Amino acid sequence: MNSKNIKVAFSSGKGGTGKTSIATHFAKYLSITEKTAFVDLDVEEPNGAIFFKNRELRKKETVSRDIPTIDIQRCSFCKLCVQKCNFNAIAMYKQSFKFFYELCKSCNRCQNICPNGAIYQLKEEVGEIREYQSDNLFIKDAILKEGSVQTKHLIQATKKISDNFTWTILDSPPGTTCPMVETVSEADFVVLVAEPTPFGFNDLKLAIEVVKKTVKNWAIVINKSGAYDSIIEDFASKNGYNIIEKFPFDRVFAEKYAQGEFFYTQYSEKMERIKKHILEAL
Amino acid sequence: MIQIAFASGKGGAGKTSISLSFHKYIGENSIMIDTDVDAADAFLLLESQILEAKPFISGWKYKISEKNCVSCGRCISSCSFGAIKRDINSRKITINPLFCEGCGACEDVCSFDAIIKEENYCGDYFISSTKINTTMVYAKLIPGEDNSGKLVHLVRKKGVEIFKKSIQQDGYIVIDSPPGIGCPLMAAISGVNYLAVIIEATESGFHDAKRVIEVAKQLKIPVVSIINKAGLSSEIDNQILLYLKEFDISLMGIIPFNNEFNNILNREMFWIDSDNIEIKNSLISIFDNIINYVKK
Repeated sequence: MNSKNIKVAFSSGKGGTGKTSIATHFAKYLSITEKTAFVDLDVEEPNGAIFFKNRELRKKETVSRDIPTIDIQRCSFCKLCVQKCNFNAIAMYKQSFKFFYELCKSCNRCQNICPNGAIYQLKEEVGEIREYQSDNLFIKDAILKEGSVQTKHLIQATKKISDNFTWTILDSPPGTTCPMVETVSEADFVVLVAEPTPFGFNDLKLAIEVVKKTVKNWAIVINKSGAYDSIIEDFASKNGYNIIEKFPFDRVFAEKYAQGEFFYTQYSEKMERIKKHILEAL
Repeated sequence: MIQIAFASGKGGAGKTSISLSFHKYIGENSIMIDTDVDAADAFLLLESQILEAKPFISGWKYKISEKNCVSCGRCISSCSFGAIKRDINSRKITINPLFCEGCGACEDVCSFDAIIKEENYCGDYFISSTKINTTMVYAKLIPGEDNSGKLVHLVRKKGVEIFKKSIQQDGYIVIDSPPGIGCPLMAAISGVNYLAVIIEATESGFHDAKRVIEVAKQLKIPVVSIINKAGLSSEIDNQILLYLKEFDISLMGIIPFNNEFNNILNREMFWIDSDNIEIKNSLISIFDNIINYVKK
């Protein structure tokens, strides 16, 4: 394991468990002494950068994906592209074509199999990548164009990041599908942030299913800890899963969060323990 | 038939709890659809018995036939998703099902008949009776699977079928939406009559809700709003109120931040059944406002 570049993803099945707040605070904490990047891969709702009030925008870049179109002059109307498209994204009627780009996954299969070289690619804008600097911390995020459904290309472009950092903190989108898998598969260590409610517990179990298939090293952090922690604790101890830290349910915490403010100083001991645990595991 | 979806962009803003309480408030003249197929939760509180469970099969998955594969590696470069890898030691080629999108490009380049095409089992959908004598439809996508948008469509279609059979014309379909603004959210809200956007009164909650409202605008869906977790920051609360005024979005009511909410959930109760009168009344007033708004 290259100790020069450790990638840690903060994830959870359920939204609103505190992924972003713990991830941003962990990144901020690390950045005081080490070269750290914070990468927000929740491209549908990127709100990690909000916490870094003094951030300066350094770079902005449009991200596009390939979408096919056809040069009708070269087409022999063999319909092979229509038949081979597994996403039903191409229709031919008489001698005209319609492409359904919302179904197209940019696999390029149509272009590759066209015997006449009649299919070529256009660019479709899916969103924008942004890079910021906030004190010592490098921040990268991306924002999906409203109305676009193509998160995959944007996430892949966003997670490409220089190896120069000692730590790269990845903030994951919620859920357990593609966007979440794209994030955790990138990580050396995954922190699952769980809240002790019936919904939080159910979604934690789903997230564990994905994480177990994807990475070797992961652990649970309980957020909004309180009287009902045992629903997660009992389950974890029964299955031999690690709970490495707890953050209390706290109105002051919530107030700071509401204003997009930091409160990490209160929790630096907890952050240090998470860091130690990750280093030991790797 | 009035289809109303509850969405927030941000997770944990209160979508499920509020939509469940709304469903309970309307009662038998409504059905519940949980479209958060990635992480379905509403059933935990609502379900009494599963009436129908069926697999959801969509698209294809590809595998390598070890018998036929000669490890030539042509398929590796054909894959636009980086799903095909060669093991450095054994030279064996495999397709990672988590990254395979099912396009079949690998099939086209293989000369050895070594690519196996299989139907893709993505999850299951369920029709259930509920503890409050209604019907709910929901689905569970297999963790790590794709095609959530299509599953959302299916769940909504089933919901409409059941509604037509069993609910009076002026009844409601209550939809709990997934977080985000991407494919699953669009599938969950497209074509609904109203979108109730739940704005978590935090900076990030407000940021995310504005994006949902933008998507709803593009889809030409009328939007009403509910503010949740109010009172944490008067500055954010005011910003939200100003925004709603500026864009002429009707506010159905405000729910203050309260430690009590997670405890209600942990007692497996609906928010609207809380013994805290303040919470209960704030919800009832919001729901009455929605009903009156819809009637207009």
